Amino acid sequence: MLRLAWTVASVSLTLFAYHASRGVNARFPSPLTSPVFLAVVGVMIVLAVPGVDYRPYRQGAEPLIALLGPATAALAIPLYKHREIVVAYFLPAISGLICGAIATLSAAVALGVALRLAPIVVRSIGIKSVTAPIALELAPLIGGDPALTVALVVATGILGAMLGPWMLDRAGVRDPVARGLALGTVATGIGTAQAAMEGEIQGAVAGVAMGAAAIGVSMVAPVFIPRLLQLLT
Amino acid sequence: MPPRKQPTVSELRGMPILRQVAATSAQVALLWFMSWAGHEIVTFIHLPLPGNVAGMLLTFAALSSGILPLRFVEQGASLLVRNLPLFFVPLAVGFMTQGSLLAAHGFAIVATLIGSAFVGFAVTGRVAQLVTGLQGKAATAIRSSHVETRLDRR
Repeated sequence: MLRLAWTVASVSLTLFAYHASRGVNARFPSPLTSPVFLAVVGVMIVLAVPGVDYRPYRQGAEPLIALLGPATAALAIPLYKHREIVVAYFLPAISGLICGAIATLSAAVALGVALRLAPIVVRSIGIKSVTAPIALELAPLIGGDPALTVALVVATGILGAMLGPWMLDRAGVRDPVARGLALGTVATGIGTAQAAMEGEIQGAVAGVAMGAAAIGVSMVAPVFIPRLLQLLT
Repeated sequence: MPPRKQPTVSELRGMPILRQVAATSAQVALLWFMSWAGHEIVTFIHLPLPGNVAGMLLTFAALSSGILPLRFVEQGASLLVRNLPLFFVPLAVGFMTQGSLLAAHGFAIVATLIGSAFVGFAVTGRVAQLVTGLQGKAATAIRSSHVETRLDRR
């Protein structure tokens, strides 16, 4: 009975926070009002003010977490629908994606080591450019922390969407396909939303890049990150 | 009587709300099954791959091979993808248990995220642009050689 009450309370709180955040984002569109970011902060405040623990909330929100699997499987649908774009830009896209995903992963690990972050933080930060539902499962495989990883992925998405267009201008990246590819590869979901605001091609390419980068990094990271850490420390 | 065909997305929109909910739920259940199958396969053959990714690859393979028609999952998938962030909100909230980490290393973490994002943006974008350029040159070369042979024949 108590369990049921927790489930109802946790699910309603999350749904309400998410719905309200989407409203705010529609009113004031900006990466800073990204629904995930606002909803997470909102739920944290509601829990922290009366001093409620995270664990019972998380157990209560299990029905929502259970939908992550089917939601990730659903990412195959946009990938399938836009397969002509994938075929047309296959060579530039796959080269940019592989180089970029490995570069951002290595840079994150190297900077993390240089700035003396704890090993679990360095491992988690290595996969901050993998879309959250996949990063969360990948984290334990590479010795990272799932909750920390998800938070870092969201933070990367927000920072990437905010600074990404400016950084791409600085780096001299003007081609729409290349811009979409970079936003999806580095800043995942929130970056894809930002790319879609730049244009339809950018959005579609970003969505595909996000999925493909997640698959590629999942295959490489469990071997690559420990080796890289060995090399750096 | 003609055989009943499966409703497409636009047809679903015109359906009564209860049937729409039932159809979408069935599609979500189907995707849930694909994801479950992905997890089972990964555990069974000990692949170091997240089960969610296996579920996604399995769904893509099923769509590409025609085993799974797009209309069987399109509506449910669209609902899930549009609200994807909702499902990881409860997990990201877990970050609240790590407040002390952020207080102690917040600056280093943000610096690492910004620095590595710049490297990622620059490398992804520049490499893609470079290869597009090379491909464009190759395509022009092929095209012009075709034109030449055609002119020769004349």
